[in-house]
Amino acid sequence: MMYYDDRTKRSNNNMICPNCKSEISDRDQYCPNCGTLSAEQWTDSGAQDSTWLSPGTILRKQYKIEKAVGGGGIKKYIASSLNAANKFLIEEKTCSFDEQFELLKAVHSPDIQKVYDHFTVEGSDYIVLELCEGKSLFEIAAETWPNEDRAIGIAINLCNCISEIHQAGYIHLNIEPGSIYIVENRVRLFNFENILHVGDSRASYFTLEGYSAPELLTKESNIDCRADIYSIGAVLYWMISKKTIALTANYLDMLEHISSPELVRIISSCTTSDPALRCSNLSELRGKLTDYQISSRRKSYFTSTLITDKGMVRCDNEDSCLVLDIERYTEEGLRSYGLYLVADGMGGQQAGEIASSTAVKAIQTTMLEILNAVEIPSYPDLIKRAIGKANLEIYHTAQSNRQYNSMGTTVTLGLRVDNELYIGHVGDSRAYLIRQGTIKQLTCDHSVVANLLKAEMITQAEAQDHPDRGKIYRSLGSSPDVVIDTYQQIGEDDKLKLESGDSLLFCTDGLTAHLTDEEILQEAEKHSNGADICNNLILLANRHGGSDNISIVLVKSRIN
Amino acid sequence: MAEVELECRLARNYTLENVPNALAYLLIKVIPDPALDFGSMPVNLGLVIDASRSMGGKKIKFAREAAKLLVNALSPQDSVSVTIFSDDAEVIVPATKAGQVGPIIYALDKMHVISGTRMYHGMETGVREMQKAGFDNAINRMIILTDGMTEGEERCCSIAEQEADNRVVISTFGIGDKYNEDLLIDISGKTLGSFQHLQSPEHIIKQFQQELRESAASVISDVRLSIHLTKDVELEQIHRIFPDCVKLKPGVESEGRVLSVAVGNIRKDEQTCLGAQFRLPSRSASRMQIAQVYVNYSVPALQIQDRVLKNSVIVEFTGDHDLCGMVDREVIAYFNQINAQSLIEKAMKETKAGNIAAATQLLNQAQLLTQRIGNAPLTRIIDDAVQEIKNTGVISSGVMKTVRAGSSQTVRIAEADIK
Repeated sequence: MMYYDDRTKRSNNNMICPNCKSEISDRDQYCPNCGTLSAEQWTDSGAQDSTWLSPGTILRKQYKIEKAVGGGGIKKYIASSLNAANKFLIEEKTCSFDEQFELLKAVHSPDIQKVYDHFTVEGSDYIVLELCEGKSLFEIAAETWPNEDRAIGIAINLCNCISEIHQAGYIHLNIEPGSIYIVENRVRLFNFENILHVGDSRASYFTLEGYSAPELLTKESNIDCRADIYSIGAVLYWMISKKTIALTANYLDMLEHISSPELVRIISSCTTSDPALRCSNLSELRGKLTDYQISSRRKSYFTSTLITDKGMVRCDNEDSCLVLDIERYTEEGLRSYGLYLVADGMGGQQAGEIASSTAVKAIQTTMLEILNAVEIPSYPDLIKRAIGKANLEIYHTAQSNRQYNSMGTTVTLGLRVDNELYIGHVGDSRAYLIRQGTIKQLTCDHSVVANLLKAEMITQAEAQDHPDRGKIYRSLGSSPDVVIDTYQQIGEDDKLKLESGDSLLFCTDGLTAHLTDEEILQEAEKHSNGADICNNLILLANRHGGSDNISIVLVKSRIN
Repeated sequence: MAEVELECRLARNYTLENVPNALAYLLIKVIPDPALDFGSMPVNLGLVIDASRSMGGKKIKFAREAAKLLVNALSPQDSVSVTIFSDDAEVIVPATKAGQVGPIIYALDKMHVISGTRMYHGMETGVREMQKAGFDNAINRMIILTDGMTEGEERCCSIAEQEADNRVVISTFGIGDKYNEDLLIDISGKTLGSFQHLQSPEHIIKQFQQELRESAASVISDVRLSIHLTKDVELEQIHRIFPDCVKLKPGVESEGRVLSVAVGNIRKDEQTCLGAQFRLPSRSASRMQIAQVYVNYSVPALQIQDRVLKNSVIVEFTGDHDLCGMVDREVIAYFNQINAQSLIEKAMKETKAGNIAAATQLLNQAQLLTQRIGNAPLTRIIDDAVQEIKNTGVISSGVMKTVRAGSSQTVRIAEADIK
């Protein structure tokens, strides 16, 4: 509560804003800077009236009122025991506390607010409750927001607390950060004044913006435990995104604030407006959260988006792409692999399409075969073996079918092993690393123009319109042997160590023919969602002419 | 009361103290005085009709009849022009005062089909004709009827953007299942017009007449909403919710603290409701003016120019949970209409991506909301879509178009209707 006194007044009779200390002229009601009501106009709606018990009042010869706290429909007091040094929270209302008392008596969980007494004095009902000495989630968040792992832990513990209430046949209906306390690292649940016996209904329900289930705002009678499940999801969303959930929020909106789609799916399974589509009980939700926590502690997250478009000029799409995420148990424990690949076929009359799709299939098959084997060669060797095999397959197909004899394809692939990236590359498709506002090409184009640029015989601008742009001197399918670049060609090591927040972008030259590296970076920085980035890049390339097929694989990392 | 009243209501007047990023939902109602005679304004109507070969037969016949009925329903002070388009555009009725009905009807008989679909030609020519009749002091409404995909979609959108600045409202009508509803929704959205899907040619007449009735009633013109935000308050989104649901894209001035958006012409016989969603800063117990809302409007028939209404939006930060629990259900019900539309749009995206199970789930959620709100027509439309999925496993193009057109149709909420 904010108090105002004469110190808020200046000598010229202008007021000082109690919030931002700006001057408020006596003509203004509200501070022109921060909108706060000037002190002279302020009356606190929550102020206590004369019907409150005054400090020193003794109740039942047992409890001495020390001070009143809060305001509104239920009066709350801090009281002390006359017989011992214990302190309590006493709540007073004109209707009965029977249900709350019965529930709290029946539930024997150390994580739920304790109840000590219940009595009536002069028509008012009193309940004597444990006074919590920890901090509420609101207070904790004001100091430090819990990280994701902690937030999920709190939500799991909350499920445990609330399931006790549900098993006793009640719904809490007031789960919000002010009702959740953390005491010595334990989650404890308070504020039971709105509990409802399952099967009962009320004419209207108490609701709190951003935490209460939407059905409580309507005149529905079938309120059940799924209303509490909504609130757990809303609290979890608040802890992670630092925002209360909007009435109109859907899965996509949530992805703007929470990077893990899996976690957003779990939260959505609580906060969907239709109770029928929510988790049906707390053990289901607890299971989902526990699985998620285990898996998120175990590994890093890599979300990938693949989009391919035929562009504005070509009738067919001769590009092929692949995204494959797999996990394998190895001697070193569980290993997560990601295979990201783009291939730009050439040869006309569907030959290009056949070349690029053959490359994708052959590389995928070889990779999976070897990764499933007991002994895995070094990853750069594995990549070379897979691309070499694809090259041979395309070469033989081209040799044995006259209509395909000029076909070929580029290939640029990334093999992610946990947080390390290995690269294999032939042709002029590209791989980029986007890290902390910078973009770096991880591959060297095997093209005439790239060589001229490297030799500084032409400028970047001349390269963009060079007549030989698009001519490559290395591809799969043109001869039985092919030289394959790996990350060693540009890095000091044979692999790239990925960091949290990195994005990897693999693309065919349909994108890079029209967009500069800076333009790609700009788009990647503009959106948080992978699909938005890819769609906008394709839109831009098409706006600039879309002269070729455009394929993009975007991988975003978040490493714990 | 003034000729128009401005009412601003928050879903909750109290919000928890010391909580960052709390949400506030504001319903802004612009209510014309029902007792006042607002007079009428001349309608400047531009009909732009697809005359590509696929429009042959019943479609062109009903379009011709609908156009004739429209012309007959216009007042002598109104203007009308009719443009048909295919590869090229042809003006079959140049901008003409509607008093001279005979020659217009005669000219409409010449409406015929030719090949190709280049809608932008029709739009450009139609706008030129409407310009001849004069945009000032008139209700400028273009009606586009098409049944097919057009070349130059981007050009059509940029024409719409340009004409929005000229206060031309473009309503789009798609017929059959071959046209691109995304384009028609985009064009009408940009100019605050409506999009309608016509299931058969027989519906052309009824829908054209409905459009004319709405145009003629829209005599409160150049309505503009400005929101002056207090420091640290963010406007997350703003929609026109009723009579139809459109997401508005406000222009931003004064370092993000003044947001301004055209609301278009509004009807004299119906209130217009807008919804703004704010994020509030953390405050200790105090009362705060989070925004000032200004609505500018003109009523040319009453010689009222650029009148301004102003309202302050006050929220109280408190630790009292009971006060924070007080909610205006009508405001929430209006915002749920936005929610329903967004769920439907998302369902349609999932359908296009082939995720039928996800689409069905979203449609069911949307239906639950429309039932709670009492939007019976939209509930029926969603029900048809859900039934079709049940029976065939997919949503046909026609039903998808009907659902998308229906999703913007909202209802007026009365406290008694809130279920």
